[in-house]
Amino acid sequence: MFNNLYIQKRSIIHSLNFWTKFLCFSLILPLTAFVSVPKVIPLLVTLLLFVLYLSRISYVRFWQLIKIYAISLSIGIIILSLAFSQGPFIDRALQGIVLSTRFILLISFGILFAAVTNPIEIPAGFLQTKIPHKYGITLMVGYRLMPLLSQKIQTIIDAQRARGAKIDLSLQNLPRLPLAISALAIPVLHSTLETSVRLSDALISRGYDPEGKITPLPMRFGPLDLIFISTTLVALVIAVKL
Amino acid sequence: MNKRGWTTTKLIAVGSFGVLRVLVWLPFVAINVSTSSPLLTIFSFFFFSFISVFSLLTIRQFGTVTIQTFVEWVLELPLPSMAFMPLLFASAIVRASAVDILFYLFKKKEKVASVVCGGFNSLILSVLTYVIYLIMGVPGTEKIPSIIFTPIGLFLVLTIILGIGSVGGYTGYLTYRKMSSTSVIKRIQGMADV
Repeated sequence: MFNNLYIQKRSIIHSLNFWTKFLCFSLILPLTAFVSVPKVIPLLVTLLLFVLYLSRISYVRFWQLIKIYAISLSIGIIILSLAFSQGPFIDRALQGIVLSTRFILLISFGILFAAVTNPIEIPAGFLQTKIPHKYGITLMVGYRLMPLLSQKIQTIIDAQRARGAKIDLSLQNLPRLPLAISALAIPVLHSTLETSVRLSDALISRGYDPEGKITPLPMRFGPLDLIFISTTLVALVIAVKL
Repeated sequence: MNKRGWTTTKLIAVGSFGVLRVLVWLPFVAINVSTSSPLLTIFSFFFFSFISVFSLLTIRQFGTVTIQTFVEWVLELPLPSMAFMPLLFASAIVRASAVDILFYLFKKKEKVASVVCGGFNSLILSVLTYVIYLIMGVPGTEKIPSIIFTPIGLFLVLTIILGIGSVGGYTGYLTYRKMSSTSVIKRIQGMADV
């Protein structure tokens, strides 16, 4: 029912600390893409391609991941720019192209983050920051629940279809969606809550105490992490100063 | 005995609501990105309000929607949605905190709380989306206030955004009333951790 973006590889980028990847790919580099002058954008594109090379993710595969966002957003932003920006046609088109490139970079860095980060690193990363472990456990249980609930929802949909309900997620069927949802809402909610209660019973029976103390996971930054963070911060400073 | 505070059962339940929201919405993200269908926008207003109000009524803890939104965002990070945009995350947390505060203020009157929280959930979502578009420099965003702040524009906006959100919230209330006597809801609300 859902496709994980994570691509398992052995690379320098995959081995970086979760917070290095999060800071660089989700915060610093996307921010750089938006605040930099247009002449810096080709450098950011080069940086993206270089990081992809280091992560051993093929360019074709990466394009498969981003193309739906890249194409639809580019078309939308260029049309909006042509319609609402001021100036000659060429200037408006160029403004649209520059802005859509910024958005594509933003999305590319974000998807790169998802592609090089194992999902289990995410709640573990949050636990490293010493947030109360009860929230970290909620996250970890959430990851475990996803395939479980996905299966249960599919079972309920199949059961309702067997009773004659027309449940189909397509653009043509969108007007009939409210009726379909009404047939699914209560069984799905009940099933979700039952699963969560059973899971919490399992945790309680194993002695889990949400207010109890646990040993926090150590936060380790290697030399590569520091080099990476410094490089991206320098890129941001250069982009702002220019 | 109704135990106060965040029990294990309530924490897992709020996480499961977050998972449910992600699972139900995810198939629509790709369609929404490529078509920006108005029907999907309406559905999102209705559905987000519905699930927020239902979880608030079930869990009844201050911070329910905020924790649920945090779980949703983290779960969406490795999935093909737009969750990796920190600006979207910050706006989602602001929206969720506002809904939590509103529910806390109206909690003694469940029906009113559901309608108000549902409506304002959609309204805050729309306002924050506008602010994000403005910050990101999406062309045409600066023209939106001149279109909205007209009698017809205000009427349409309030009807669509507040109306659909309130209907979603009220539907969440009705669904909760239908399920409130089930053992699973009573377990979540009244379970004492051993």
